[in-house]
Amino acid sequence: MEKIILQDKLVVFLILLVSFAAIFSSATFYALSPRASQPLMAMGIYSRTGLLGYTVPATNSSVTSGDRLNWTLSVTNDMGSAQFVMIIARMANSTFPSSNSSTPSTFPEIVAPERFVGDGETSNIGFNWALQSVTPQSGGRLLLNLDVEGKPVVITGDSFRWIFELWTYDLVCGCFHYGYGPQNGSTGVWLQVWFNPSG
Amino acid sequence: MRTRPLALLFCILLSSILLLMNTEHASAGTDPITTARTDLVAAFQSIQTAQRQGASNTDLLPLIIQLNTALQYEENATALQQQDPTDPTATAYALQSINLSTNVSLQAQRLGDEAQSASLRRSVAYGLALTAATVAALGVVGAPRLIRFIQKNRLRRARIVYGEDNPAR
Repeated sequence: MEKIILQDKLVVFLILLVSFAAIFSSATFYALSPRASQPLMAMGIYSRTGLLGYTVPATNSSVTSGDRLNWTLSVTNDMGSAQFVMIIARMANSTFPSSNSSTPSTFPEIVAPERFVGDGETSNIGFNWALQSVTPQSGGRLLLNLDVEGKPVVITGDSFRWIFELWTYDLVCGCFHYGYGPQNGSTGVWLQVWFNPSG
Repeated sequence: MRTRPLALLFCILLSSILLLMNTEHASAGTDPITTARTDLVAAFQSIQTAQRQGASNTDLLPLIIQLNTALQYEENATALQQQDPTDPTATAYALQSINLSTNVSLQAQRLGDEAQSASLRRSVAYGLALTAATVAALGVVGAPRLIRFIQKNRLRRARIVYGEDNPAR
């Protein structure tokens, strides 16, 4: 009889032990685990002086020759680890297609500032440029002379815009790749700013 | 027959000399700017490793700031070298970048090691949770017996009081 009581007690003890262990371990796991979040990177651009045209045609983005524009590019990293980023600034006209979510643009690369961005941080990168001269050409095309971060740039055409692409460093290949995330399935991040040059 | 081992020895000697020559070429080819770039990436990798080991963003933020300064030095060195390849200022900037990157790498490794000892604390926390579960289960199972034992003890210790003979008086 006593043996049966002892066996029952052992069973009760084991059931209680398993239950309590599950409860306490769950509470410990919850207390120690970092909060879940979806990894992402974002890029934005702003200017204290305005002159940012995001739509086509850029009706409110006239830039006259001699204008100096100081823009700020901001990169937000929420990937769960520090990132080494590069922003490629391209000068575009109506000849080639823009970037998209998987493919970068083929327009000429003007500058490509690099920056290390900590997890959960937003990094600001200055982008200063000036329109030095505008020369009308045949067929309604324009020849622009620009100064971008102290670098002279000449471009002809129409429908001018700046394209900014976010590239991240991949330690596996030891190179930058377009967008963020793994190289074979990265998410492209880009934006464009239209402007109307005038002499 | 005797010429074969000699030829083999000659081949080994020749290949050793060639290998040594190649190593010399490689070390001469790495200029300070290339080293600065490699060290920047190595420091970045150390920061990511420290993060994986559990180092906090707050602890790593000063290292990111230092690494951006090192990157700035490396960019200055590259720009100066493009203008004038013999400019000694370019080398000076590259060396500053290397020093800073190396420092960042070491600090990141230290933070990573410290964070790993935090993972030991994690194991201790789980151990405590299991101990608490065992104590709680034992408490529930043994509680009736304990209560009976206490009550029995109280009864055993209590003095038998006869009639009006009250010790409290």
